[in-house]
Amino acid sequence: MIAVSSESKNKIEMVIIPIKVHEFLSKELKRVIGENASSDLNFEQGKKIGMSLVRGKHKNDPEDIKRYLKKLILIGYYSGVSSKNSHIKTFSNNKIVLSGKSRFDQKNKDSYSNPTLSYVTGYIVGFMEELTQKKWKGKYTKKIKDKNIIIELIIERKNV
Amino acid sequence: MNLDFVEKVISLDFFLDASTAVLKNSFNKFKNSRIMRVETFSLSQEILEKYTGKAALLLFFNYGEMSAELMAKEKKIKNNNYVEIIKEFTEFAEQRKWIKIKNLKLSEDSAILTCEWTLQSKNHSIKKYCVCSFIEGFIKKILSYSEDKRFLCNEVKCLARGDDCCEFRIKKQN
Repeated sequence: MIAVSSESKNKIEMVIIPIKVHEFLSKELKRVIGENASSDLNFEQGKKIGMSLVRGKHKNDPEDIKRYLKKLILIGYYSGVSSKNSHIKTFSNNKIVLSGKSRFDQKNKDSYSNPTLSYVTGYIVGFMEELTQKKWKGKYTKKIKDKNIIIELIIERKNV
Repeated sequence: MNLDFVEKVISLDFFLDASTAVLKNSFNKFKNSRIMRVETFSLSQEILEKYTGKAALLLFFNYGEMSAELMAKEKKIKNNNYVEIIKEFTEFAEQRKWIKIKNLKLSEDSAILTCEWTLQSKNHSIKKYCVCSFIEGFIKKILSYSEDKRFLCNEVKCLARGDDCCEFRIKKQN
């Protein structure tokens, strides 16, 4: 039982907290429940946010879907992945690859940690599921190149 | 700049209609801060409580203290009157959607802050104890920057305990 009514379907309630507190909290969660469980949790939380962005906006036309994705990239789909260097690498009915560059920064490892990238992947999967009303799955890859980390989010249709 | 704007941004109609430049600028104004869903914050707390029991509350108390230090630095608070600090804190916390104030009673050496909810109690499952240790820690620490320095802050009512509000009693120590 929840103390008071939780957020409604169409409204996401947000708080602003210091980055430092957010980082400590994420680290503590990872330490207590383990990195895998923390990643799963982040995936689900990201998915909820992604879905809420396009709630009720169902699209079939690939061009419409692409337009929505481009808008999402322009805003910067997550602070850890710089929107300046992000683009749609592959786009088809069944597979989408988004590629982005995250600055390699030893002091801010949180921005490309596995739980964070799980959050981002969940975010795009939720976004695509709500937009297309179809089931999608997602994974990510990260490669260190020079002083940058190349992050790719691979989103694919389920059971195709 | 307030959080209502960010909530609008996150609703899709705005997401598609507003120009990207406007959206980017509004997000950039929250430097050194991160936007987080209230539900995620509560869920994180509940998970930590499940694994570590009440020790989790102490952790959030520390996070509150940490945030107070950052606020004191940002607002350049040092040896101010405690009433001024409490007022400044309530404004700061409401802007960030940490609390929704119902009532604030201030006297010379004590204060009672009543909130409709806090970021911790809002989505928390019902417990036998008060859960708003982040706010307790914040108030206690921020008042250590006052001219009197020593204050106690206790939460005596909590939504998560089934009370009708969250109530914090603040008292000057002799």
